[in-house]
Amino acid sequence: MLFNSFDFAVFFPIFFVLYWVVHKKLTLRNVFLLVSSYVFYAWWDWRFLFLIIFSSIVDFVVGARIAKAEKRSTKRTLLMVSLATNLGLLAYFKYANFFIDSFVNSFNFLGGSLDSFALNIILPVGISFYTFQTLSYTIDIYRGRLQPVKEWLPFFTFVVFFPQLVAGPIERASHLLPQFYKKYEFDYERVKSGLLLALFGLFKKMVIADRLAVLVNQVYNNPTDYSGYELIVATVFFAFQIYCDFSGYSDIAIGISRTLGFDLMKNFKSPYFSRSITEFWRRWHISLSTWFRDYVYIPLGGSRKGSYRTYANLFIVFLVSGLWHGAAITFIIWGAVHGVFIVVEKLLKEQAWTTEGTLTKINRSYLGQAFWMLFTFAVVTFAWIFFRANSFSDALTVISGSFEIKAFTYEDLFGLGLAASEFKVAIVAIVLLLLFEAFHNTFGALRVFNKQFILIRWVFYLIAVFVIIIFGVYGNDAPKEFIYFQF
Amino acid sequence: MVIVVIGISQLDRVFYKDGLFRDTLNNFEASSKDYDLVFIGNSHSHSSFDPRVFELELGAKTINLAAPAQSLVTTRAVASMLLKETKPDLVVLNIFSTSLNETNNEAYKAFQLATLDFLPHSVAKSRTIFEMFPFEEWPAAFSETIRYHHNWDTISSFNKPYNYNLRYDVYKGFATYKTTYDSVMLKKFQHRFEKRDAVIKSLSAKQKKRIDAIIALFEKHQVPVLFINAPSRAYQLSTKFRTYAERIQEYLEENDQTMLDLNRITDTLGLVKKHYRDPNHLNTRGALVVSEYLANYLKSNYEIGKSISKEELGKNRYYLMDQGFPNSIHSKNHTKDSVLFNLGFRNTHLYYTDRNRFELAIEVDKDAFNSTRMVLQYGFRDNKLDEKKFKTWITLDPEDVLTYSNRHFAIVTLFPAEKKLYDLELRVLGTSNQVVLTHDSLKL
Repeated sequence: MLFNSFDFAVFFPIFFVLYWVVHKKLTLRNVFLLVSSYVFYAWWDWRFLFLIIFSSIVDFVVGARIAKAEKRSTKRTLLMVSLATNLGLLAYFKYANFFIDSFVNSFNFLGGSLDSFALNIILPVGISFYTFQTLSYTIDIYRGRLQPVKEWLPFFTFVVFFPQLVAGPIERASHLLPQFYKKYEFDYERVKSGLLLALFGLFKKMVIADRLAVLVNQVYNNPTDYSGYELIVATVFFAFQIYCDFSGYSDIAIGISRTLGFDLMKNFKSPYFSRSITEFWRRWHISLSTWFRDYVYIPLGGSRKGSYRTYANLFIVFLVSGLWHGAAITFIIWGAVHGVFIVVEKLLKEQAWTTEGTLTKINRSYLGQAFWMLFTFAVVTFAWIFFRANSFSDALTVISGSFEIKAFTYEDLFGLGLAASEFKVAIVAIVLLLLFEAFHNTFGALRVFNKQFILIRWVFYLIAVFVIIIFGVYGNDAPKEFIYFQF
Repeated sequence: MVIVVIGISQLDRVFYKDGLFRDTLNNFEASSKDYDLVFIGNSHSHSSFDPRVFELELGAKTINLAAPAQSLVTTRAVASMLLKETKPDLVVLNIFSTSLNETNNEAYKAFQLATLDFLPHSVAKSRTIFEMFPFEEWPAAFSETIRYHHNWDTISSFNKPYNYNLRYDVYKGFATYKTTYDSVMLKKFQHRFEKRDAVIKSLSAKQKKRIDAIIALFEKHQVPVLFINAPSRAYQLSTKFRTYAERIQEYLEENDQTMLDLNRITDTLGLVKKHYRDPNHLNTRGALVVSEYLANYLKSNYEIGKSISKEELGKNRYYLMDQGFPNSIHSKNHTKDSVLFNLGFRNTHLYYTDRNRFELAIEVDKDAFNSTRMVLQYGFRDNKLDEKKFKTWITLDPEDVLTYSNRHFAIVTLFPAEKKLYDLELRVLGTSNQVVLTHDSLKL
């Protein structure tokens, strides 16, 4: 079920009312949440429910056994069972074809002769997210940072909690799991702010992301037909598309969880205001970057084993992050580009001339900060080319084509898939979004908003709803799924 | 939520697309709804039953509420709306294979919405949408705002101007088509029928249920209904069409209903190629023949009221022809010494019919036309703001001649947005280049 579907628009109000009817009895509430979450997932494909249930059983049992085991080696073996099960499922469903393809290509490159073949595997929606979420549970128990839960119901509900099941935020067991043991009382203010956040998420997804997708898809599906500013516009639009698409989903997930009494972690903090790639990763897909930090970077040694090892660890983390996003060389290169810039930034930061004297003063000035913000955005946007391109050769076509000089005409610009009026709406919406984020980061938009007269607030709610209804991109030809559903 | 729903329903008035059925409903609502005789159904009804003939022959206040490609489910919603508003003496419901269509493709759904969009919200309309559209399409099916929101940049006004350039010439729901088909079109139809042809042995349970539902509706309101199958050449060309009609008739008769299949008597009626717009639909000439036959049939078999007013009759083309055009706005007789008389033109009459619709009736000799080129132009003020000039070229052939009471007419219809016209001129082109009719300014 998609958040931006009529199915969900019917499902959620019914669920919401029933949820608050049963909320006083904890077990009943969790059973209701579990069943509703299974229905939510089964709406897409009921067969893959068994996969989630299997994963839940394995991690619930392994978690309990790890805690009980006295020997370190037993604990490690049990952890390996959890890792092998979860990563094995992930590898099979997500990477089997990629590995087969890579193997066949390498074999042929070395002089062999193998016909390429692909397994007919459907990627279960959200597998990368719930796999990482359950892994955090067993790893934290192994590390002694978390006690296993005794009841299966809260754990199973934690794994399949529908607001964040298919595209995160990837919650840590230590943060989300205890919330299934708490009773919540209906809190009007929480419900209101949750719905407002969900509405904002829908705006980002339906008004901005799906509108930009029209142009981006047209250009990126035929990159040889375009050149110069056309490719640049498409790439910049993709930068905003993916941000609005993914952060929009996160906002809806966090918002609807809030209406139920749950707190999910923040996943985005205005990432395009970052002044370095390092800062960007503190603001972009926070739940994933901190997951990699805690469960990959630190186990690899983090920054504890000298500069070179730190650089290597950072680079590895970004390569793995690229691979997590998808089984394609383009995602690995995307990760590598970020890895390289992170390492370069770290290297430069360690040089005295970058942190002292006039250069520092310039960097800290408004102009300097604006420059680094634009520079960071340019680097991130450049990396998005690999992320969005349908193949590596397409990515190279986009990059080389972007440097071609093409005379600007409005006719060409508005022939990229978005008519003049649609294009203008897209630009206005992006500008409004950035202004809102700047305002929110400085003054706290919600706090200011809540101080307004009730009539003004309600007029705003209604305007927001009608802006989505009228300017939202939906219907038969519109992109429906969130980009991160594929990961 | 309530405010949002109300807001959307208001916005629907902005986002709707103009359509044929809107015009039909406007006609329906233009006068008191005490109709004696109502036609419903799909395009066959729409192009076969001319209310003017029934008004004249029966004195019955008549309207045709049919619309193209309408399924029986949608027709039921129309009937439900109709029976809620009025209680006619008879409803004639056209039914054939397309009415019982079980496919659900986009084109089919679009045709149903072309009717449903203009029906007021009601339980019957909701039930129709629930039955016909999958769950995820309900919002779009109910709301034009949701369906057409992407057209936001074309919305400029809450009050859309009258659509003066209608593709269809519609009079009280009846579609006027003057042309006939050619061999290319016939081949296309034959090919289409050959591809899909089959012998229908029985109706499906779903189809029977739909027929039951509409019978029950009329029984509930105690309004007699006559099922009819208007002439179509498909009856000869397609086994499927014919056997479907037979199965429908059998089922209706099993349920004590009357079905009049006019396809069985096309020879008696004298219907030939010139009476058809395309192999599936009649044109005005065919409709005149069929309507006259049906009017006589109804006269003999049903008690139908005679509520048509003299004022209404005064707008009726056939009444005016009978009476010598007493209400003409402008008349001209072409004298024997004129060039136009030699071209076969006898007289020309301009008269107002209904709702900003004028007709020019040119009485001619039977063989007056042979690819005769004419140009019609006139000006009017659209929405009291913009001056509009309308110009159209007309080619008249023998088949464009409408024969009524052994007199021959070419009918040209004008749709200005206002009842005021200026610089009206109808001219014959070619070597003669004669003005048939001209007027500087006309005001009703």
